[in-house]
Amino acid sequence: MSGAKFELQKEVFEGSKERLHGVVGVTKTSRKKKPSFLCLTGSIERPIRFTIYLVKQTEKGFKRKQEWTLSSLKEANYKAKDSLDFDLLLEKSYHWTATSTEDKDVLFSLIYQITARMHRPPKFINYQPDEEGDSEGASNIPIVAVPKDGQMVDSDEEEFGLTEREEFDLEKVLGRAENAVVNAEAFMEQLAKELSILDGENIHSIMDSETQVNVLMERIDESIVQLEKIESELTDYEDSVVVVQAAVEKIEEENSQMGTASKNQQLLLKELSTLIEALDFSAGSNILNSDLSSKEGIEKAARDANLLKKALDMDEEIHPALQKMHSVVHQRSRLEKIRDKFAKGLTSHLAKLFIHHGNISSVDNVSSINHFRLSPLNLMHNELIVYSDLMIWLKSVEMDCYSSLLQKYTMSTQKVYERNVKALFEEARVRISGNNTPSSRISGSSTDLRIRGKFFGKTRSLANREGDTESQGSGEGSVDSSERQHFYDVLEQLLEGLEPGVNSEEKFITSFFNVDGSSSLNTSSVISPSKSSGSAELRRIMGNLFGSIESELVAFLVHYEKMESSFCMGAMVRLGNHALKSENTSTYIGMIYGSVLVQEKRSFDRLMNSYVQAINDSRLPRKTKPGILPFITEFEDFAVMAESIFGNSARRSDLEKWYVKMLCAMFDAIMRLASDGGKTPGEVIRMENYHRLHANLSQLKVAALDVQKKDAKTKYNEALNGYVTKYFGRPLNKLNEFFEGVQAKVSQGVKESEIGYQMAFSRAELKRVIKEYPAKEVKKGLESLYKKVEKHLSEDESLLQVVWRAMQEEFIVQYKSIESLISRCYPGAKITLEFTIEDILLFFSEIAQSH
Amino acid sequence: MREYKIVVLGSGGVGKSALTVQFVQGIFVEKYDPTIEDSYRKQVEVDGQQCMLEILDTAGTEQFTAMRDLYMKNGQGFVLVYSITAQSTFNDLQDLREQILRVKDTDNVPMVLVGNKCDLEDERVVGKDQGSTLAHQFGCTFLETSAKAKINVNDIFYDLVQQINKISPATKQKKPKSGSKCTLL
Ligand SMILES: Nc1nc2c(ncn2[C@@H]2O[C@H](COP(=O)(O)OP(=O)(O)OP(=O)(O)O)[C@@H](O)[C@H]2O)c(=O)[nH]1
Ligand SMILES: [Mg+2]
Repeated sequence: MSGAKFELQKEVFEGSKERLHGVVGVTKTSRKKKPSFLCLTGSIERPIRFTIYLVKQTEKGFKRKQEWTLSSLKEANYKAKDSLDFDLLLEKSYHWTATSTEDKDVLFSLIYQITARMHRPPKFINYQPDEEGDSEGASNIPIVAVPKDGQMVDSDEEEFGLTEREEFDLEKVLGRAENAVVNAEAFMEQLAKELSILDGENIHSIMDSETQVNVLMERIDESIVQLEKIESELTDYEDSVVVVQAAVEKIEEENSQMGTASKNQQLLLKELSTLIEALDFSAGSNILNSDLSSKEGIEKAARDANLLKKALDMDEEIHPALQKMHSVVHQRSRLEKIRDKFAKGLTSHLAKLFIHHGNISSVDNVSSINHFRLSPLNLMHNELIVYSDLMIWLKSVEMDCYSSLLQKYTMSTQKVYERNVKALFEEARVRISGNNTPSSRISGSSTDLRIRGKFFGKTRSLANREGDTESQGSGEGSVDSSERQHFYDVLEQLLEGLEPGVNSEEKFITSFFNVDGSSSLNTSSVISPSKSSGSAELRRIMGNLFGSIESELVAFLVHYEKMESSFCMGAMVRLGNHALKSENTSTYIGMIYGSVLVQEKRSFDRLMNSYVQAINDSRLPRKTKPGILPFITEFEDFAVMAESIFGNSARRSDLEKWYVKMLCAMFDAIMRLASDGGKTPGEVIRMENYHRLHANLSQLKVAALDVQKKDAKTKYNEALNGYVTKYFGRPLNKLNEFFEGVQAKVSQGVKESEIGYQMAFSRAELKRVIKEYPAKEVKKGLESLYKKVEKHLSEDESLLQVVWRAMQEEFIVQYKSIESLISRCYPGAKITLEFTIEDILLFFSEIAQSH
Repeated sequence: MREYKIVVLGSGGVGKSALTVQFVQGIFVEKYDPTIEDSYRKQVEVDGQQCMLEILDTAGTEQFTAMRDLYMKNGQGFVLVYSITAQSTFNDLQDLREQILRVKDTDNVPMVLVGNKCDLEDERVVGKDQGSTLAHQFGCTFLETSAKAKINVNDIFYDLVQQINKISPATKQKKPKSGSKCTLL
């Protein structure tokens, strides 16, 4: 049967990747026919599916006839032990007869084992399974698990049968003998024959290589002998090297000890030499004998002093332990002593110099008067500035000495400056009232002043500074323009003259007393506002030296402004120029001028305010014709003066602000005064004053006042029109009334051409009215009108011609309107007035000329 | 009518004058003329009460700062102005405030911190948070304003009037401090 099994496997199941586990030859129990094979296979691929095939053998080979899955087997009937028959209940019951009982047993045993693990194993009838399981197939069947759905899943990793390699080899061997399976005995014989041949050859080759092996053995023995020799030599060398090594190690140790010692000595030496170098001060007490009178001597002293300072500053770099050394302590106290002594010597030397120069300089104040300027103390500065390095040293080392020097310097120098400043201001006063100038109007005493005429009436008490009780002699406009110019020139020279002296002193103090905050001292406090504290200190020193300038300047200005309060205007401009100069941005003198400027600005505001007040309080002059109001002309004078002072100066905007306020006040005042003008019509007051104001503003050409200029023009025109309308009135009144009636009718719906048929407006009626205005009468009327106008208008503005012309135009307008009404309402009637336009023009010019 | 003396302080060019003139006259001054000192008067109604404000526009220019003490003494409320386009103008205010407190000799001074020129957002260098932080530190009101675009201008002065009212109610304002104050000169 195994032969059939092999063939079946190969031909039927290899293609479908199934492995044949058992086969039994059967015939259908019912018919006697050619036997078929009932095969039980399992798929090679997992999960393993078991299938029962019925395979038929034909001439062409095997052919699958029917197949069932093993799980579809419901019942297996073994029938009797020695019977060949058996039944399988698949989709229906099949009855087969096996070719042998062994085959039948094998199949049943296989089916039993496989299906035993299934979920629903088939029912076995009449079958006693072999407990031993020694049947052929049982050992080949792996243990399989059957899940519910009937698919079979491996329960372990074991493969069925041969590995691929074995299979390959086996096939190769089998391939050599086609009929191996059939003719196994012959095949085995052949294999045995081949094996014996191979054995023979093997023994032969072993015997051949013996001589070679013997040679090899000899060689090995030889080399062992050699190796032993080398080894013994090596031990000899090693023994001698060990001796040398000990010696070398010893030397090495000694060497490193020596190195450490020498390094330590070097370090010590270095430490000591830095210490000595640090604390060494070669000049020693020689510094005390420094020559402080020559430039070289001073420079050397400064160098030495700095070295000394460095030696003493070394403290921080010397190890604290070393600082305890007796010699270090000693050296330090020695150096300190030298330092203190030197500082004292320097201080007293400089103090002497200060006093000396203070005395020299105070003798010489003539030059400052002759040149009219505060002379810088160059001589002293030049001599002292060489000490500035020493001063920096002193400041950093002996603050007390430094402070006392600063104080001494301030005291002695302040006296000099105070005297010179005073002399300078004295000189300024002399120059203003002086004998050497063409104008001597403003002398020191106020009694010499003549009042030429004031701006804006009585304003003196208002313009004065607060708390000023002596108001006698005060005033404005009391000086002419050349005197004013002279005052400003002297003031300008004074301001200019003060600057160089103060500035050079400030520069000197900055470097000599080292108060700019940029000194080496302040490096420790980078965050603190050292700059501002430095400049505050500088300002304090400068204040001590030059405190008198501000008070002198203020007193000077107050004095002259008391005589002429408008002087504050020029003072403001001049001070502004000086205070706002870029080089004065943070100088002391710039600050002084700035403060005085603020005070002058206040005076100016007060003065301007008093002008505005004066305008607000102004009354109508007690004249028959008020004409141009006084403040209008005063403003003209004021503006001329103000423009000459302010020009294009930086302070112009301050003036313009007040211009605007003054003009506001003036507009208000004109309106106010025009309404209580007594005999003179308000229109005339307005007309004349706005006209004048407009002319004035046009001349001034101040852009900031353009609005006001336009306003004045408009108001003038309004006043002129108002006046003409009111006083020219209607010289042809009856005619006017007649035509007013006509127009009333027309507006009621009467046609213009039919007016003549109305009773009241007949041609005859018209002619009657016209007759009332003969040329003679008209001229008479105009003449009396002219007289009236002449009486109203003042000579100030000479607007008579303008008004007269405006009236002429008004008359012509009226004439033309009447004429056109006549031609429209009474067409073809040939009615005309008794005089012509030419007559009117003639009358107006005759009247104007005759006066 | 009660009078309020208000002082406007700050570095040069930050717009003190522009703010004051905008408030008083309703116009924007384009031109820059460094101020020396200008005073303005304006009547306003705050919380139903008529008030006369006397506003002192001061100089930011360094040369004119020597006179500060005097007007600080007289002022009742202070406007501290910086420009959001210049960091230094912001930094200067710390000193200014300290000077005010020193002169006034009290910590409770009506004050408004003003960051002006807020219409120039493109040129801003001082952040709004910097301003409000400083105001918080000062314990005062903070406003960002523009004299040019009329932003928050009136609010400065109204707020200050309210602060002054709170600190010294209108009742008797006849030298409440005299006697307790000693001057060393
Ligand atoms: N864009 C813009 N410009 C402004 C504003 N406020 C002021 N300016 C301009 O800034 C410049 C200076 O303004 P001022 O008001 O004169 O400055 P100030 O603070 O009074 O300066 P000092 O008087 O010197 O202290 C002027 O050119 C103004 O036009 C603003 O809100 N926006
Ligand atoms: Mg200003």
